[in-house]
Order: sequence, then structure tokens, then C-alpha cells
Amino acid sequence: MLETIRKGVLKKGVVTDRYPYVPYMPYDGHLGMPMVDEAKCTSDKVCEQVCPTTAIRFAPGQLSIDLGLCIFCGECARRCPHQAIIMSKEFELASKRREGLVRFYVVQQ
Amino acid sequence: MNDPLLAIIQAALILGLAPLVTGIIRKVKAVLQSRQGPPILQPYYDLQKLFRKSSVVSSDASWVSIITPYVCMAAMVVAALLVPVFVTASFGSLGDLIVVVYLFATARFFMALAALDAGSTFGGMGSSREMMISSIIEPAILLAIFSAALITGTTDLAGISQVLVVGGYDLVRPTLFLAFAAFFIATLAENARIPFDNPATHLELTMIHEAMLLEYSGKKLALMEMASMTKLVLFIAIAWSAFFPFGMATEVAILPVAIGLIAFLVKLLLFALAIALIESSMSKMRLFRLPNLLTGSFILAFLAVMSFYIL
Amino acid sequence: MNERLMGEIIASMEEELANGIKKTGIKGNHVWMTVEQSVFPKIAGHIHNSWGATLVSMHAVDNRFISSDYKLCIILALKGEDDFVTLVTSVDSKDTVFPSVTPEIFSADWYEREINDMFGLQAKGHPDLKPLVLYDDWPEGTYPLRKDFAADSRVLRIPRPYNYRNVEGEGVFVIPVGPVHAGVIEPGHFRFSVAGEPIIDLELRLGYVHKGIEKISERMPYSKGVLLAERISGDNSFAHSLAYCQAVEALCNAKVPERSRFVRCIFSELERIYNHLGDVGGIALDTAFSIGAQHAYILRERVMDINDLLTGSRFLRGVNCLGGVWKGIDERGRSKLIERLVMVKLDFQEFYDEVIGTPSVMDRLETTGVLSYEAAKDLNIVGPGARASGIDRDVRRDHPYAAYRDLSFKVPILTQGDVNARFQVKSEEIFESISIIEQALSNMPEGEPRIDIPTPEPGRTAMSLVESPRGELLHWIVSGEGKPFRHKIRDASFHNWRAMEVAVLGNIVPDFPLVNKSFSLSYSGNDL
Repeated sequence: MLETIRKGVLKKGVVTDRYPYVPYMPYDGHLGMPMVDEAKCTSDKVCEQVCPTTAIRFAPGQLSIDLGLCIFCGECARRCPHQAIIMSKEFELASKRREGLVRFYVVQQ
Repeated sequence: MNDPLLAIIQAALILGLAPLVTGIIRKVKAVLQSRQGPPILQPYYDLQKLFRKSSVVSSDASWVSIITPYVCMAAMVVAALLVPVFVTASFGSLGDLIVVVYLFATARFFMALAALDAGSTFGGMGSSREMMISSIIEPAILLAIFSAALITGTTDLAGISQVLVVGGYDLVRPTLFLAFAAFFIATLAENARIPFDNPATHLELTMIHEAMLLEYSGKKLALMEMASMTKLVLFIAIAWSAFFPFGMATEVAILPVAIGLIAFLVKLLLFALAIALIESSMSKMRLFRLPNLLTGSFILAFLAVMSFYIL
Repeated sequence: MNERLMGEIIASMEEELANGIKKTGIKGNHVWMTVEQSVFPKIAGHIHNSWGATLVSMHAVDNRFISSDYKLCIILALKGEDDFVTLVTSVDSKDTVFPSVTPEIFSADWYEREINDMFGLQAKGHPDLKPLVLYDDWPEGTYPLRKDFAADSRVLRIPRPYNYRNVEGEGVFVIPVGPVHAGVIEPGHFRFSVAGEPIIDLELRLGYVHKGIEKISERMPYSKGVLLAERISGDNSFAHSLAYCQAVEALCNAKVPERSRFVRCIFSELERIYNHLGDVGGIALDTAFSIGAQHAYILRERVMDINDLLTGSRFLRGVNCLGGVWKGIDERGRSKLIERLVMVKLDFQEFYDEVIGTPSVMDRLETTGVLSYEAAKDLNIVGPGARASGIDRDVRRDHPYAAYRDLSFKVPILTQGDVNARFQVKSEEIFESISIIEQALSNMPEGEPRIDIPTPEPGRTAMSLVESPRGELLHWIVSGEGKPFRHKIRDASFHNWRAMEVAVLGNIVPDFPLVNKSFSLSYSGNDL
């Protein structure tokens, strides 16, 4: 019993963090929410075609990403010829309404 | 002493402290596992949340399921009136130690009956396992208490603690130690602690105590949880006041009462720490090996009684 | 596989069986035999028994629009050799009956039930053709994997009773558990028949998470199919996507760069490490030894953390692609990985000593849930569960893929078959995996991480067998126009669930979660 305690908490301490009272930053390259750089996008719709779940939709002058359908696979970021869409590190994406999960971006036609 | 007012104050203290003791045990277990753990006051928040919610009762259930939470809680409150905490006084005219043991038995009886009432298999399994454990442990508890009663000449808990405190170290004999050890094992068994039962389990096939609570919700669940937590503190209070009550006040004056209160809180904390350490250092025993451990407790209690006559 | 071996196999059969073979062919390490329907079970049984072959898969293909029949395939892996035998027979599209293979090979039981559910081909002589993956109220006569069933059709649900096995006797109770459980786990129904506490019979009912992945795959282009494969069974993402990529790469005879083969090995072993850590932690947790369990879970989190650092995904998603891996392991990632593995190795040794040194835990683990060697062989159990019962089979050694041919490792085999044996096998495999990763990191060749591969031509067939943390899994693809024509997935759990029904007999009910955890079974991989 004492051995367990000696090698356990006395050596390691408490290893869990008090998230969400302290913030957490994921590593670089973590596949988080896809974000669009509105200046670079030219609406050539490559991302809409490669997205496996049709989470990315184009309307004239507007790009919408439905986070409820997105599976965070990163295909859109890999295939965009202008690197206009990147996988950011954001992971706190909850919303109280279903509509809150759709993010809109204003892009060139 | 037989003092209803003091008894009510002590009962209120026990009821107020019960969730805190459970919170402390959980926190200590979590830290031993290198986790942050929930806040110490979390059981209070849980009870508050449950009291706000409505209850759903199975359509197969009868009046037994409806009255059981109230019967259990009432039994615990009455038992709390009979146990001295920091003063050697209780509502002794209501009953003595035998009544306390059978109040616990009443609560257990109704809990097991209500578990069968809903008609679910897990309730039935939990009831049968609980009855198996308590059929062996109840004689052990009674024998342990008899040994204390033999030394002090009375079965009234306030009387036992009074005689032991006044008698001082002269009355300390191996009987008390053996009976305390037996009672410690009985505390673990009756309150669903490891190695008998895992209070934090989510596997319904392994549950003993939790299985009987699966059918409750809302206010009824809050009452059942509160009754379980109170039972733990009552067992600890009985253990200390029947076997090692030194530090308790024998008269109502500022200094003795303050010392009695501090002594009680320290003893409560020690016992809770011991439970948390034991829970963290071993795993749950196989179901059919439990009677071995329970019989061990019975043997210790029996030896306690024997040693009174021999030594 | 060569002509000589094929000749030996045919020569070892009896006269009438050999006469039933219509056509043979050899491709790589595969021999194909097209046989008559009547001798199909007997030939399969002969190869299974006399040549010690294990059953890899049995499935049907809806070929009605090409050759007006259904094709039924059975794949057997020869013992001790890196060779496979595939028997193909045809089933008439009107008279959808074929002789059952189950009397010859017992583990074909669930395969034939699945073929009946999905295609409507009935195995004559099968002991009990109940639905396996489709729920009670699925209308009869509607078979999802047939080509004329559209993937998005809605069907009318008609409730029907399901016959469970009945155990009668004095004092025998039936305990139905699930599919909704008290904890947050996947749905599955277990029917125990108990006499007091000891279990005398267990019947499993799965299929609650059937998602129709094989049907969805038939309209996914190959590049999207990788993403689909990753999501078959969440914690085996890398193994499934690896099998899929290897199958598609075999369809177009592509050779992936050397560097990517080593990187794939490294990630496979990382997946194995964190899965096994979760399993041993779960075994400790189910005996209520919380300190030990938390210790293992902390280690598992550290390994998943290094996964996140190397690939951006804790479950190793988005790593495999057709033709290799998206990116290799850079210098910084490599040094962090080595550091982390050293820490995991020391810490895991401490955890292992802790568990072995706690008598109350060892008392729970020993002699619980024993699976004998004969039962494991008959039920064709795979993975660590089989290796703990004495079956000496590991796909990494017997049918090497990726870079395993160039790496050396031991395969731990024990014979007791109880929970303790499975715990020991998994612990040994963790140490072996760490050693494999270190070898792969030091021998990693330079080069590109991936190449572009062409789209496979229609009408070709390929398969890939991978050792996932749970056991061997199979992806078998027949190519169509830019997407699979038929994609057969067989996760390790499809075999291993049968072990539960045998291993729990005689144990008491509270030991069931322990036995369940020690086999580490996937509901989602089984149901597809």
C-alpha cells in the first residue's frame, strides 16, 4: 500500500490540469476547426468537391462550413490550390443551437 | 446522559457532515490516483441538483418503492438521535444500541424489498448479494457491541461512552481493540466499500449497493444517497464512541465541548483517510471469497467477547 | 505460392472433390479455384482440416449484372506459409440456396448468417439461420447488399419476434443485459442463463450499430474510401485505413516508397501500444484496482499525446493515403517520440510490477474466463486472445506487410487462456512494439513519403490482411468504375465475439465484465 503511494502520487504529483479554469493549447498541426482566409479564396470550389461529408457549401459570394457535418479530416486544407483554408487549432466549438455550428465566410466570386 | 436537546444538535451535526465525509474520501482517492478529483463539497451540489428533479417510478412498482426512501431516511435520522458525537449524551430513552442496529436492518430490508419491487434483474441480483453479506456481518456487529456492553455494563451508547471516558485508560483492554477491528471490517461491508463493493463502478453486473439504487430518480434518489452517506458517518461515530470515546465531553461546558468537537472531527478524518487508503490499495474481492473476510470479522468479534472473560 | 504447392493441394484431395474443380489460377501468393457448388463445403473442409488452414473470410458478391449469378468466396490461409487459397463458387440467382460450410468449418457460422441477411442466399444445413446484423423489424425479402437495393431507400419496419436459445431447469434465471447499459459504452445485448451466480449459458445479440459501411463504400471514390475506412472502428483507425490503402495499392500493382512503409509500421505500433495500454488499464479498473488503472490510463494519454504531436490527431486519423503517408516524421518529432517511448517503457514496467504484486488483483485475474486451445482453434479466434490460448499466429510475422519483413520482434504465446494470460500477452506486446518502433526509427530510409497512384481498372480483385491491436483484419476489394464494386471488411471482433460465449461458462456474473474487457472487443467493427 505504501509502496503504491510512494511511487504514485508522491513521485508524480497530480497530473491532470484544471481545464477549463486553465487554458489548453494543442500542438501545431492539430486538426481543429477549418478556417478560411477570405482574401485568398477565389471560389474555385475544389474544397467542396473533396469534402467527404458535404460540409462545405458555396453560395454566391459566401462560403459556409457546417461543423456539425465536418469530420476534421483535413482534405480541404490539403487540396486547396491557394492554401486559403487551413486547419486551425481551435477545438472549443460547442454551441447551444444547431445553427450556431455553421460558420460563414465572405469570399470573392 | 439522556438529553433530547443535545441529541438533536448532534443529529443535525451528523446529517450536515455526512456529504462532506463522502466528498473527502472521493478527493483523497482521486489524489492518490494522481487526478485533481471533484471538489470536496461536490456531494452537496449533487444532492441539491437531485432535489430539484422530478421522480420517475416504474409502472410495475407498488407502494413499497414509494415509501422506501422515506423509511430509510427516517431510520437514519432516528439512529442519529441515538448516537453520541462530541458529548456523552443521546436521546437514550428512545432506545439503546440494539435499536440502532435494527434501525439499520430495517433500512436495509426496505431497500432490498424495493429493489425486487421494480421487477428488474439487477435489483434482484443486488438484493441477494446484499442479503448474503449482511447475514454474516450482522452477528459480527452485535457481538462487537456486546463486548463493549460487557465492559461497561450498559447497552445504551451514551452510557457506554460515559463509562469509558470516566474510567479512562484503566478500562482499555484487548477486547476494545479486537472489537474495533471487527467493527472496522463491518463498516467497509455495510457501506459498500472496497473490497466488498466498488462505489464508483458503472458495471451493473458487479454492483451490490448501487444495483439497488438503479430504479430511483430525483428526490427519492437524493434521499437514498443521503441515507447512505449518513449511514457511513453513523458507523464511524458508533465505532469511536463505543470503543475509544476518549476526548468526548461528559458535561456541557465550553472547554470540554470544544475539545470533544475537535476530537470528533479529527477521529472522523482519520477514519475517512483510512477508508480511502484501503480502497486505493486493493481491488474488489471475488464475490465468493467475501464470506471468508466477513467470517474473519465475526471471529474477531467473538475473540473480543472471549477475551473479556479470559483476560 | 507456386504450381508445386497447388499441385500438392489438389493431389491431397479425394477423387470426387478434385473433379469438382473447374478452373484454377495463381496470382502472387494466392491460388484461386473455381469449384462446383456441391463440393464447395467439402473442399473447404478438407483444406481447413488437413492443411491446418485458418478461415479468413467468407462472403458473397452480387454478380447478377455481369454473370447472372452470385459468387460465393471463401478465403483460407495456409498454416505456416504466406499463402492463401480462395475457393469461388456460383449461386444461382433464382434458386438462392447453397450447401452450408458450417458442418465442415464451425467458424463459418456467423459468415453464413451475414450472407443470408445481406444477400438472401440461404445456407442449407446451417443449424440456425437467425438474422445477425439486421434488426427484428427489417422486412423479410429485402436484402441490403444486393445491387438492386438503393443505398438511401427507406423500408417499412414490421416487428417480428426473435428466438433466443432457451435454457430450462430448476432455479435457472435469465438475465437480459443491454442494449442500453448503465455506463457509456456501445450497445449490445447479452442473455445470461444463470443458476444463482455461475453462468450456464450466454447468448450474444449484436448488430445495433450496423451502419451499412460496405454499401456506402460502393459509391465512395477510392480517395474518400480511406476516410470511410478510418471510421469503421474508432480506436483501430490506422489499421483499417492501412488495410484499405494496401488493398487499393495492390489493385493497381503500385509499390509505395520505402520510407512510407517504415512510417506505416511506426504508426501501427503506436496504435497497438495505446490500445493495449487502454486494455490493461481497463482490466485493472474492472477489478476496482483504481490506482493501477489510472496509472495505465495516464500512460495511454501520454501515448495519444505523442500521436497528436506527430500527426495532429490523437487517434492517428488523416495519416494514411493512397500511395503512402501524407508526411513522414521530422527530426523534432523523432526525438520527442524516442523520449516519450523511454518514459513509457519505464513507467509501464512499474505499473506491471504493481499489478503483479497486488494479490487481490491477481486472485481476480487467474483462472477467470478460460478459453481452451481447442475452443480457440475451432472458433478461429485471432489476436492477443488467441495467442494467450496457445495459437501461434501473428499476421506481422506470418504474412508480412509494410516493413515488417525487415524488423525483428518476438510474438508472445501463452497457453493458460485465462484473463491473466491475456494480460501478460498484451503487456509483452507493448514492450515488443516499443522495440519495433525504435528499430524502425533507426533504420528509416530517406525518400518521399508518398507517390501518386493511378485509379485501378475495373474487374480486378485484391485483399490486404493487417494485424490490428485486436487481431487480424481483412479488406477485400473488387474494383468497379473509380470506386469499389464490392468491398468486404472483416474486423477481428467478428471472430472474437464468439469467444465470449465459451469463455464465461462456469464463471460468476460479476466476472463477465472482466472477461469482456480482457478480449477487447469492438461492437462497431463487428456490426459494420
